[in-house]
Amino acid sequence: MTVHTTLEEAQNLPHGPQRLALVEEAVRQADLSGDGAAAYEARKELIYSANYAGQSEKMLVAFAWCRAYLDKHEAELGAWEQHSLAWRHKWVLIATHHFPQIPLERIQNLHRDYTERIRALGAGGGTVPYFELQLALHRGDVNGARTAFNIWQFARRDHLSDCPACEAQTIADYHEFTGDDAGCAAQVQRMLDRGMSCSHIPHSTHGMVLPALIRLGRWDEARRHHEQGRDLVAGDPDHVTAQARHLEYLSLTDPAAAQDWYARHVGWAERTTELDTRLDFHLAAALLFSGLRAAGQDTLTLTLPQDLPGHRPDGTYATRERFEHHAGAARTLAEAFDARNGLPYHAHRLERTLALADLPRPTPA
Amino acid sequence: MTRSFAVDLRGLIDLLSEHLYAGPEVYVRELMQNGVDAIRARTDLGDTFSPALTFDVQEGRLTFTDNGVGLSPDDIHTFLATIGRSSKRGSVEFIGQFGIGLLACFLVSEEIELVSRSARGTPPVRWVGRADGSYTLLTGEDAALPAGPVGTQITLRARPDRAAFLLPDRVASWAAEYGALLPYPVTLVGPAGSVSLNATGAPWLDHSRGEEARRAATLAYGEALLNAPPLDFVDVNTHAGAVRGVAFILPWTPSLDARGHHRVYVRHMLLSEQEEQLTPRWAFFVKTVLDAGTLRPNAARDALRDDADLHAAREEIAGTLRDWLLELAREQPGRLRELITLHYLSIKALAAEDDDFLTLFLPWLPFESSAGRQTLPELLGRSGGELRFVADLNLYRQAAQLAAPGGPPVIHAVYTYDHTLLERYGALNPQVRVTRLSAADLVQDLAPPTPAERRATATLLAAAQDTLAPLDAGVRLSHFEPAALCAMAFPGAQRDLHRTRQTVGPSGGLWADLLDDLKDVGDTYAMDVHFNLNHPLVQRAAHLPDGPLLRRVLGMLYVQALLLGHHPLTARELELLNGGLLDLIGVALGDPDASRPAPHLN
Repeated sequence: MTVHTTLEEAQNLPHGPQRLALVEEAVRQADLSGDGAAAYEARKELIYSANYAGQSEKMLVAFAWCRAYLDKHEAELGAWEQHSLAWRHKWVLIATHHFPQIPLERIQNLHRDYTERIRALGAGGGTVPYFELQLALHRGDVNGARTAFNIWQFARRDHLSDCPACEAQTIADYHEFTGDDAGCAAQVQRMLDRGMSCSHIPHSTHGMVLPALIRLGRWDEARRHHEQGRDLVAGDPDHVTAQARHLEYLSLTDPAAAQDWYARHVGWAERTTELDTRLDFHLAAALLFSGLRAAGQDTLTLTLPQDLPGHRPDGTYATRERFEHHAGAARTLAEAFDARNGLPYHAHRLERTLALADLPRPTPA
Repeated sequence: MTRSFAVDLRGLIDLLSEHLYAGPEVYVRELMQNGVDAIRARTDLGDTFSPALTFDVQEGRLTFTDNGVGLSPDDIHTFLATIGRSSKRGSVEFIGQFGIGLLACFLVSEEIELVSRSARGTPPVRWVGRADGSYTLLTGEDAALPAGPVGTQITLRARPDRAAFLLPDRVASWAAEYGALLPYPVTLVGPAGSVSLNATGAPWLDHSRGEEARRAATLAYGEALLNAPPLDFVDVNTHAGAVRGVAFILPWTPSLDARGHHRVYVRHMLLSEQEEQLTPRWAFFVKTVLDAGTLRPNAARDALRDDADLHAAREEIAGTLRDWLLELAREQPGRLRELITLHYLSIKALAAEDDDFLTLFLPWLPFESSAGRQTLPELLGRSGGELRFVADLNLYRQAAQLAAPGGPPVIHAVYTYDHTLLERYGALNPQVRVTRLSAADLVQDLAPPTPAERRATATLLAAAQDTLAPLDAGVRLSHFEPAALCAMAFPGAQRDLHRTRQTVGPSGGLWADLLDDLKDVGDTYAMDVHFNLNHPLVQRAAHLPDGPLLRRVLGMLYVQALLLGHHPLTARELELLNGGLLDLIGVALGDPDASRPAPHLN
């Protein structure tokens, strides 16, 4: 099989581990043949497939390879190729958030490099503040987020702007970040009314709005979003964060269903190298087990993957042990992120998540 | 002072046609939908009548007639006053929908003439609306109409630029498509006479000639739909959404592009040929034809509205398909096997979502392994209760090389769902050990040398480490089978990162720094090579003194291991291969230079 037939076969698959495996196979074939142009094409596809399979560590490596190759072969590949790679470049900026081992200074340098490159392509008025906003949201930098948001809102979209659906969801993220839960919910409703969609939306949208709706006490709407969103993200390793949000909702409304959902998704969450999505899941799991403890349940039976940390062959787990595992892991990760980011933001997320349990619950129908 | 907007109806229609509707032909659908709703409303009144819809198409003029409930003068006033607003009558949003549907006729005609008599016994009405927004309305005696039958007649005259949309054969084909499942006659009267457009209806609902005839007619419908005889069909009948229909079992494995294209009707009228939401996403082994009695379409009428009823209906349909598979497993295992051959991906997808289904079906499903395509019981039988799988293609190649014939097989779990299924199977069956193999696990299976061997091979090991470390390869000496393999090379977890780091270069700036950040501290080499102490060549090499010849041999064996493992060679490895080959040929030919250390080795 040639590189191109392997790539074609991969492109005919849904996003996920198998597609990524086939693209990696295409990269190997291209490297074996010593065909630099084919190796570049295959790695560009790898950037894409890894990004949509929740394995952005592979995406970063492939991007670094492509960036170096394109810099060496600029004349031969042409100006269009710069645009094509620039479209993928923005995923690099977001991916750096996942890995606390990348220092903040490096991230800031990556932003500067991105800015220079896309300015050279005649773009960036909107995208540069957009990605600054994303970084500020990740760091918990309130002033930075406000400034970037305001600049972004007055900037013009261009050919390298993120897709309208993703931008619309970022507005919802910003509202939630600033404490405007009603604004967040309204923005999500606007997105859904307009049928905005892309490969991540509305899959993640239904999950992202759940905490805001729970805090607002709008349980009926939360239930609707849970029902509409859960099938879209169930079992998909690219949607661990959304799975965590649904886990939080279920922990508060249906602990038995929450345990099933947890058992089904905890394997991917523990295995992902994207540590901030892993943190999201730890927080939700901590909420689940603290709720079970509060309800007086000391032990429970779960069918968990055998390679899970703390796996017990008899399937019987102490609620307290599970809670401490997830809360402890969440704290450790939060510290790593805060140390990298230079702001004490993630450390408070555990309390904030656990506080969801103190809100008034929905009245049974 | 309060004023009203002067709405430009023409502009509004053009906007609608451009942004809401697929094309001007939707006017046929909207006319029929109005007729269907009117017939339903009349049935709800308890009237006894024989419902029928008729298109009469003659020379650019189309008259559509239904014998539904008809419009009273009040209805006309309501709908004119509230165009675009939904108003409810009984269970059907009738007048509002009627008005919206009627507007679509302006897509093809500058003028709409409507003549109607209500089943409620009110006087007849005649309304003529024009695309500029003006209209005339005559009711009762003013209308000077004969007291015709109950129902509505709508007449359109083709706009010059839209004449093609009123050609009899085209109207016939659209009406046949939209109304194929209507349970009463749809007729077209044209220059060539009168033709029935929906002779067959929904064959799966026709029990009048017995079950055998119903099955045969339904399968014939399926054959026409798929262009091939379906393997079977499953009846669908849900409480939520009142969905009636069939799921045809595809006689082939569908490609990704062809999945999820289901034919869906709402209240007997075609909504979409590509509806995706009503059928569970794992059901790519079927193509469904469904008629949703009480589900609602979206505004453009091209998909169902995403609401709680839709979700409940989909759950029921999922349950129906699942039960059918379970029954097949119980009653007709031979046919299930046939189905699995074509559709195991679909069944694996369902099993990944549903533990009960997984428990029941996993024994039937095939997995790729180093012992060929096997089912789980076969694999378990050969492996003494442990399932070992690899989820990485590169690693699988090495694992398969090591898996001895007759020994415990290694499962190739790179495919969609396999990994999830095995993990879930292990969670549900703790007595079966399910192990995801890493390179480190494979390496552990290789037997290390004894202390005596270690002493005897110290020179060999040191020379090998010294030679290969600059190539980013770690070295070990082991015993393993098959003995015919001199050496095996295992990719480290971060091989691509290591290799890319080399490509980017020692002073690669930002990107080199980023890769260094990501590098795992414990992961020292891109590759790990094991020289096989069972192999006679390696044993002989252990007797050589450290020198250019031994280093050449080790370098060449390493490159050979890379080639056997189908690993791409870096420029330096290729250089090593070329240089080593030339040197060895030189030695063989007695070249006096060949005994000097070659520049490509250290």
